[in-house]
Amino acid sequence: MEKDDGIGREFTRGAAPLAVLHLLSRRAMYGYELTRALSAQSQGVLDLGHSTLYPILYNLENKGLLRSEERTAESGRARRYYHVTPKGERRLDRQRSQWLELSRGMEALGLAGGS
Amino acid sequence: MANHLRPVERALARSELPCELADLVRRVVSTSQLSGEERSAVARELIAHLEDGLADSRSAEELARTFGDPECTGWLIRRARAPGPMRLATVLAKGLAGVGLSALLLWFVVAWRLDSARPSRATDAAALRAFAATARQEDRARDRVEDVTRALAAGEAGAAEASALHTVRLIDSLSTRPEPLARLAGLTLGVS
Repeated sequence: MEKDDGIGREFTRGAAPLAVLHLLSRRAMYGYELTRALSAQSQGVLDLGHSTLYPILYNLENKGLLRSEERTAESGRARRYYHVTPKGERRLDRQRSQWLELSRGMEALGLAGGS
Repeated sequence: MANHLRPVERALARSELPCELADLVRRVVSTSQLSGEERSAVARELIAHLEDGLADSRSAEELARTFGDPECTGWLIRRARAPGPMRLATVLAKGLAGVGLSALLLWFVVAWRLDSARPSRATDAAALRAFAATARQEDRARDRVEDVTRALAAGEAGAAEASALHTVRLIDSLSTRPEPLARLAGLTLGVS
């Protein structure tokens, strides 16, 4: 594997909040469940550790984009579930559009979309 | 310090985490410098995450390795939990709302004070004039009647009422209550 020059980490840091909002807009999840879903659905690209995931969750919650509540998971253990607020949904829509625009721009440059 | 850590230590004692993972949780919450309940909530969440990892057949070594730097995590959590700086528009809106509310409150206070300074009962001026016209000179109410009629003639209803209020106080101070005075006060203040 090539050595990460820091840009990959920056990309991940920038994309992770959007990815978190996107996954939580589908259904409420707790931290560990979310890391597994992010890793699996991004094919390992968004493999977030504690040091990234929880600050993102707390930051989004602090901004009113997420809400959380402690519930009992299927395992019988108490877990904190996060879900997207209406404000978070609006932010997600806006960021999704921005992301698609950026993606189209990169594709037009020949940097994405396999061209 | 010990007081802050007590709930965290209780949560760690209840967990099934090995020492190295428990120590990571301690270091994160210690660096986060959060208050008691927030600190406990963060600790419970990290403990739950690590327990899920162990239940998911991941080793303690692997979890510790992928945990990241606990001090850095604690610092990031502290920053994420801190209230963000207010936008200028929010500050202005809150300031204007505060000024508006203060002005409204001041207006209510001034209006209340002005209103309470004015006699509140309606005066039956016609009945008062009729009474004043028939009042006898030798009546003990003469002086008061003259005051009231003078004020009424000058169009000073407020002064007439003030004089009548004075009359009421005079009546209260007398051992006997002369009927003309009582009637005068009642008419002026709109009390039958």
